[in-house]
Amino acid sequence: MLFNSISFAFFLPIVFLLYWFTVNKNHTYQNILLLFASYFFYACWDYRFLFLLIFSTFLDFLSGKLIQKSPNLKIKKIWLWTSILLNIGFLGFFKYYNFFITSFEDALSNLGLHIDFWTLKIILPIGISFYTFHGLSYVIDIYYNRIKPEKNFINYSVFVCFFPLLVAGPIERATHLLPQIQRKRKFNYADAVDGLRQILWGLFKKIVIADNCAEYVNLIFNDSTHQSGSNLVVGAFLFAFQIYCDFSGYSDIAIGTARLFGIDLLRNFAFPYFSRDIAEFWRRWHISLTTWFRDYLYIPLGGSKTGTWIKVRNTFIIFLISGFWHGSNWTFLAWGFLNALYFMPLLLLNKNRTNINSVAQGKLIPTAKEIIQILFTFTLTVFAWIFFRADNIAHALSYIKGIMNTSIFSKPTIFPSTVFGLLLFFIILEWLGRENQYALERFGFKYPKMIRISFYYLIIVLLFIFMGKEQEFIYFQF
Amino acid sequence: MKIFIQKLILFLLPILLILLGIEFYIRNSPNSFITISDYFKKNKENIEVLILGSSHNQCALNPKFFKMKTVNLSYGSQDIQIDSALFFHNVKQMKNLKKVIFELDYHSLDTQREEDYYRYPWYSLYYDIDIKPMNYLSKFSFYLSNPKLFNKIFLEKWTANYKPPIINKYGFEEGNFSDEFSEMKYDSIKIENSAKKRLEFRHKEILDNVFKKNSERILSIIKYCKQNNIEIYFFSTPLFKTYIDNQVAIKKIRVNKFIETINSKYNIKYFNFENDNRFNLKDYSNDDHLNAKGAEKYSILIDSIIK
Repeated sequence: MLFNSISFAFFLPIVFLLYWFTVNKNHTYQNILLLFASYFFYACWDYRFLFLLIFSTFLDFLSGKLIQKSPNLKIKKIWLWTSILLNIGFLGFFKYYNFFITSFEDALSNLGLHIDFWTLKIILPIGISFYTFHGLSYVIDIYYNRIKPEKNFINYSVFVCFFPLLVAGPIERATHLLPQIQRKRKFNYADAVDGLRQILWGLFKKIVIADNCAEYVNLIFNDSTHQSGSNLVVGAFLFAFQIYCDFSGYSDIAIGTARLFGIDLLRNFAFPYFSRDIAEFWRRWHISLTTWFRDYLYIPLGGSKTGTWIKVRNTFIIFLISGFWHGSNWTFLAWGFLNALYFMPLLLLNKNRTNINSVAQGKLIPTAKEIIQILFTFTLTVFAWIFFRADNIAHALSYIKGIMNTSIFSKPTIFPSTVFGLLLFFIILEWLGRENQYALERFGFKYPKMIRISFYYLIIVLLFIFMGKEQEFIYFQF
Repeated sequence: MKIFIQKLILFLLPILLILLGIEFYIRNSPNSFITISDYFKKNKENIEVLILGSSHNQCALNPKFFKMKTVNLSYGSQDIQIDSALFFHNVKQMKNLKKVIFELDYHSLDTQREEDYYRYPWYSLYYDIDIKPMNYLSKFSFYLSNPKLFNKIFLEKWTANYKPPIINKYGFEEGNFSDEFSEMKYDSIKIENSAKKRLEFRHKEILDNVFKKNSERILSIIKYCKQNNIEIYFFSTPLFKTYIDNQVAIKKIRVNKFIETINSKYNIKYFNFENDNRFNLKDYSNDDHLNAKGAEKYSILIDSIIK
């Protein structure tokens, strides 16, 4: 069930009404309802993987209890690693088995050895990368005594499976979400209205911007060898907005939906394309994953408080793993590697925390220096996205080669003016709202009611007029 | 909570009303798909000739020119899978059916619509056939099956030059449809020079698996017709030379081989009008579709063959 589908438009109000009108007296019933709704939501894709989800949930629930009950650190550690290995094992099997096998075969064949290993027709269970990370954060937090294990399996299951975040995040932390699940939620009018506003904005990003960009991105990337340099630049530029609006649109819908149920989820995007350097970009892009890697990998590896060499090594590890998390393809590793390279000058010059606040805070127009910084960072990002979108490394390299020739100065033959017009409208709104949680938030309190409502209707009209061909959310494949 | 729901309903109500209005408007506007379906439902038991196929047959055969009671169920982008579903779903109720006209063009056997083809819900709504598994909600609205298309049609209606299509009672579009060749003023040099670009990707796919499945579907229809004393005719519709010049040779060989095979096995009636010189430039609306004038000629010709 997609957030942008008619099915979801029926599913959400039904769950919402049941939640606030039938089980609102007791938080246990609220959680049972959320759990069943979440399982139903997940089963709409493939009910078979529901059992894997339940099994994985149970495993981490049990691991948490065993870690806490362990009499000494050694046994604690054994349970922790058992849980980590099982979680990574599931993820590795479903997501990376064939990749490792074929890569190993390729490596052997390069050495002159031709051996055929078994590859399997494995279907990737949707959301596995996300719910595995939920579970991992839970057991690691228990190990480090940051939280106590949850006693109630239903509460814990809702933490892992809550339907808005189940298939594409944000990746939640037990320290943040579990306490909200453990207590009764009360309806809050302002939160619910704000949730709806965020859903509307997410739908606009996904349906109007991302899906319309996708049509031209697919056209250009799928036939990149026959495109001029300028067309390839248009393709890469549009992909940058496709992926941003696709994923941040999903996150907005997820966060907005959760708010309708009185639950606050972690922020996932903070206007990343207005970043002045790559370090700022990574503080603003897929925040829940970046902070997850920071807290559960980068810091345990020594973080940045050690020597320069360790810092560099850790940064590369984080970016490479982050790239690999996205999928079993060398292109994602190349994307991660490229971002690590971008990050290096800032890290070595100790300038990776220079731009902490929003750009041009309190001002309407940025300075010339800020504009140049934003454009430079955006260009680097767009370049890296080519690897992310390409089918394989050869495709990415040929795409870049296609850009680097004189045809880059020709007039692009693919130039969807309507899409660029919509992008301009979108960028202006994002810019105006960049100091808020999401671009439309300010409309909730800044403008008179009539203007607000007219604006919401305008967004809805745009949704219907410019509705692109329904596309799955990109991050579902991860 | 109650205030929230009240305000939300008040906010959504105009949108729902507008959507319902659009849906009503679309369903009641001149529309060949709905007209064909309505005509078919009303006359199902008396139909003597059933025409199936894609837009080639849809544009080429006007039931008005047939002496027997005829329905043309072919439609734009309709593949053999849909033809087969339409045939088997309805054939038992068509008690008077004597002849089936089946389009067997160069592209037919390699064509299969994508899984999420937007017209599948239309077939479900108007012919009660589910080509692919669909949930109830997908069949909910004509408009929501492809808002982009209907928005375009809707907006076109507000342009100064808009003329509504002339659709006869059989659902055949007799006038005011898009006609590339007349827009190019039947300038044969211009048409020929621009053909390569226009036809670069048209009907070029070679899909073994689809070819095999479609062949099986045709064989099932032939067998059924033979067992039930229904005459089945296969026709290749007239095509303009630009289209023929841009055909993929291997596809053509494959189709001819298939025709030879079924002919030798089932002794079918096959007529090829691809290169027929009775049709000239002004009979075509584009490279592979006849216009209403061409359709009149072709329909009379086919009627004389099957009588």
